[in-house]
Amino acid sequence: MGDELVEFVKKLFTAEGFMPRWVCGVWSSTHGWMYICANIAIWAAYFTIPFVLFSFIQKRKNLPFRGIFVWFILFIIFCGVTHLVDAIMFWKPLYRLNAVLLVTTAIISWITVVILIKHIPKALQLKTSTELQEIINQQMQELQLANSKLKESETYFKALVNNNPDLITRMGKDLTYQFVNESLTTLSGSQPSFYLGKTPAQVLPTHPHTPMFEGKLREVIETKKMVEYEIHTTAPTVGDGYFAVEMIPLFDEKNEVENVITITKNITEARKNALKLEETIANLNKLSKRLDYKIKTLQDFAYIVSHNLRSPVGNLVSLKGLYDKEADTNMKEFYVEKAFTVADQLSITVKDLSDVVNIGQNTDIAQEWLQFKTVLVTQMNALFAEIESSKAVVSHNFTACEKIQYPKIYLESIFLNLLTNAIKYSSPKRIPQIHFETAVNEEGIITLTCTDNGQGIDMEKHGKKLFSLHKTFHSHPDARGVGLFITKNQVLALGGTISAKSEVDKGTTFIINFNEMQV
Amino acid sequence: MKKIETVCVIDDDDIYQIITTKEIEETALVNNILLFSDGEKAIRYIETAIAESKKLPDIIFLDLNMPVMDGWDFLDEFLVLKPKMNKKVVLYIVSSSIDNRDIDKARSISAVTDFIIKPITKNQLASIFNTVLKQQRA
Repeated sequence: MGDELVEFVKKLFTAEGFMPRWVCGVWSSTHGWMYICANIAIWAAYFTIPFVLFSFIQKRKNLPFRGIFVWFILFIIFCGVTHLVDAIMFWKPLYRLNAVLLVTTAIISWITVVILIKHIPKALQLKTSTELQEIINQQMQELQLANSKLKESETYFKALVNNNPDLITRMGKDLTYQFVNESLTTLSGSQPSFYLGKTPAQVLPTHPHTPMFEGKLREVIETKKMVEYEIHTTAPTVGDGYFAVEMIPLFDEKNEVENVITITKNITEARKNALKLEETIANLNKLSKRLDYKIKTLQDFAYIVSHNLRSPVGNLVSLKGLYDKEADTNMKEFYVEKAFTVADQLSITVKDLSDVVNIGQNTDIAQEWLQFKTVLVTQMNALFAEIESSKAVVSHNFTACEKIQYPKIYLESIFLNLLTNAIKYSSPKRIPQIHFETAVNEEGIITLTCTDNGQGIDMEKHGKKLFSLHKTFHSHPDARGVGLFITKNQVLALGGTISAKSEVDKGTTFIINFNEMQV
Repeated sequence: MKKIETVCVIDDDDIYQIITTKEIEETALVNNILLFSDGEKAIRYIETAIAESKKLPDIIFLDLNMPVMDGWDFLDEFLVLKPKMNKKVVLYIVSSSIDNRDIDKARSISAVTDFIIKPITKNQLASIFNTVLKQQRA
């Protein structure tokens, strides 16, 4: 067997022991050449196919199952070679070589078969070009549908953004405009191209809020947080307006701020309403303050009536009781005398009270233009004796406000009471000095001050009661506690206020704001 | 029969003073009557009387509406002095005020025994004196 194999290899390319096919058997020339030519033609064709396939493989880069093609090329080449050898056999009977070639071809053929079988399930999964086309068509349709949906939502979104009355922009992180909505272009009268790609400083270099707008944008980009603020503008295009600005950061995949959406709302109406509301509230407060004054005055009055009438009436009843029980005629006469005194007091009190009632009722009393100086001089003449005996020095400065529209009897009464008071409560340690002065502030409130160097009043103790009826703070024989009460009621009835500053043994300043509650 | 040693009346109304003095005398339950026409004078007296508790009044009838120092101011100073007094001093407010604010304020002050609306009668006075006498005996 070993020898046989050695022999076989040695004689592989020789025809020893065999006869050429021409001479083996009865070959007619036609038959022989038909056989030879057909074999050569088959070989030529089998030899060409690999080149065609190879060039196909080269051109189709991503061809699936490339390995199969290689095995198929080998299979075809070897098949061709067996046919060539079969043709050569007519002259050179290389049966040994042919056997080797056939074996090789058989092996390659079976490998090819196995590989083919193995790959068939996979190959079956491969889509045909028609199938692929169908898939492509379907996907194209889906894509178109998605596209139209996207367009639709974009239209909605644009309509939403553009029809929004707020001014909406998208700003890049380089502070340039990326988008502006129609409200903004309508308001400014500029095309979007006027804005896009430029910074606010380039677009609106003179706008008073541009630096703030850019500053806030930087803040949003740095802090990555939403920012809100309000501005008040007096730009000629929009007039006097209030705007609320909101800046919302949009992030990229690295969580850095990529864009900033800015929404500027016109809150002028709301703000103006709020201001109006504040004004109304202020007016209501003023009104309620005035009502409080009225209520206080009424309560005081009820209290005063009760107290000032009950006292003397109670005394009269008691005196009558004592008179009835008394046997001594001298004592009886004494009681009657006292009863008369009480009756006189009662009559004065009733007069005081009716004066106050009249003041409260006469709020529409006739007013006339009065010179402060004239009124002061008149009252000084009326109090000539008192001024003379007290040696009081009365001075005045009415240059800031020389006259006022006021009821004549009220102003006269005010001056009379202030003068009387200042003289009555002057300090015995010094010559009384009484100074009157007027002032008017920017709101038009006219103020009269009366400053003296008298005994003064302990304001901490008596401040609240200073202008109440029958409250006196000094043991002066003439102190009745009526004057300031009347003065206060006159001033209040005409929408003014009265207050006092005082220091014991230094003096007192009375301050009258004639029209504070009217302004 | 034991009498109340001293009753103090603080009121600026001189006729009321005369009437009240007469009414107190008629009860025959009081030895001395102190009269003051305003709170200031009364408090000055009490200040000096603290040293000698015999001089302190047993009962004070206090008016509210008075010149110079009124009843409320008197009460303020009286409350400051009260801890220094080693004698029980009963205080009544006697006023012609029927203002509830006054009455409520007065009753909220511990030193005030009661609020009496003027005019005060002889019977009211007698009943007050008897109550105080009973307390003093106890």
